[in-house]
Amino acid sequence: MSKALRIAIFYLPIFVGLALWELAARASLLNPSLFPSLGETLTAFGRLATKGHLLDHAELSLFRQSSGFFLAAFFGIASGILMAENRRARNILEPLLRATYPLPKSALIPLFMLWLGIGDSAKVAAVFLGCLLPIVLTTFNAARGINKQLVWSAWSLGTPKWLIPWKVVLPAALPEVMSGLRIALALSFTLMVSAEFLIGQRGLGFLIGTLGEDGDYAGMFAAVLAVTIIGFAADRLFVWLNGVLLSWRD
Amino acid sequence: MAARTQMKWLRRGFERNLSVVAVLVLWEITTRAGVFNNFLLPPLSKVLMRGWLDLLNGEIPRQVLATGTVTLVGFAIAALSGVAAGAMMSISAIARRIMEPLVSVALPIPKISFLPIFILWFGLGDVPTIMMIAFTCVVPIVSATFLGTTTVDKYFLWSARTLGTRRHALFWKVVIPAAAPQIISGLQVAFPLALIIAVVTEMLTGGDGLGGYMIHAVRFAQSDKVFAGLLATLLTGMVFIQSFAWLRARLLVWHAETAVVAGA
Repeated sequence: MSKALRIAIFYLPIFVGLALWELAARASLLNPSLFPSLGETLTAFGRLATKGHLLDHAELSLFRQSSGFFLAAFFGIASGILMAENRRARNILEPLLRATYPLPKSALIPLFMLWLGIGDSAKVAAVFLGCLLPIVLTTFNAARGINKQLVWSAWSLGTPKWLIPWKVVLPAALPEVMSGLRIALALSFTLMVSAEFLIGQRGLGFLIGTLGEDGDYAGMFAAVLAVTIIGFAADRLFVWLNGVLLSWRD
Repeated sequence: MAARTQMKWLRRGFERNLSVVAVLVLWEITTRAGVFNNFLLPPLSKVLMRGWLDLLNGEIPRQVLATGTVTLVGFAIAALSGVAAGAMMSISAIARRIMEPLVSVALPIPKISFLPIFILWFGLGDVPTIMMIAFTCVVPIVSATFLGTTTVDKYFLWSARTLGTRRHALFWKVVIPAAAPQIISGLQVAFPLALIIAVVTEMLTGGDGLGGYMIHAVRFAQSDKVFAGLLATLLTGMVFIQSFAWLRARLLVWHAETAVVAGA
């Protein structure tokens, strides 16, 4: 059986669900003012994509989400490894981490509205800080848990001390770091959409909200569909990248 | 002697949290010295004062109660239906065939984007918030329950069988307890999501709860209130997460992981 066919069979229940949605709408089982049909939603999707600046909104949202996410990945992994390798850094950062970790990440949005107003930076900051803590924490735990013999071997084979975090610790901790990044990736989309619901004039979250307020429910469903597709595609891409990055392991 | 150990305990707690104390002290000193704009970063003492006043006049307790209630109700719905659905998937091949693709799609998507649809369907008030929380949390719970119940150690099942456990008793007496650590981990992953969604929804609907409290404070440019709300939200999150860890240790008191922690 070809791979495409296997995937199609796996996702069959979803296509059945979509077909049932369309049938229920046609049979007038759904209240059309609350629940547009699949056909209407797809038509609205086409209309938004060609005339409604859907792509502009999506591009802007992705820019905010990816800036926040990549900044968080960079600083999060760096400080996680630093904490695992350096006692002083750990003594300073660990209590701060423990004290701020229980804060629901979305509670930071009002703070950034206050500090940064309604522009891009407020949303990037919300995504960045929201993703930072889980990445630091998983990296710290992963780097702390690696087999110490790897470090000793590299050291005795002459790897300079300053290269060890990059050459030994990070690769050894990579599987756990990647699973932390995957969780943060999902969180980054949640925070992006939440921040866009609340602040600003552009972006997919804003688009969903404003179409809903205008009573264009087919359009609103279409915009939600767009966010869903982007979130799912980003996760698939990440899983693929994970496989590539970890292919050297057995 | 008791006073002395208490002193020691206090000192160790202080030393362990030295950097937190340092940040709080720096916050107060720098804001008093005018390093930061006092509107953007009000002094800690002013924030605490505002928090204290709103605590006494009942506003913060009311908001904590509102957020806590919707969070727990939504989470409880997700926990009950999620564990049931995950268990169904591991028992019935048909249930697995139908739900596995749904879970795999629903897991990574930003479920918060459905919020305006939920508001359209359920109106304003607590119902869309509760439904949104349940919808977001149920997916990781189903997934953890399914994984936990399908990867139970075969020896447990064989032993129970040889000792004469009947088929449906096997599920309740062996599979569910053996999967309990993973199921509870799933619940612990889902719970912070419940709080995240509760706060965002409250901000968006602008009603009760800590999210509403903070967003009102921003709109009325009361920065000390924003920070007081943040502190209250942080403390609420801490209480919830600590209670969860405590509950886990109680529920899994028979399990090896608890014994290890207790022995350490």
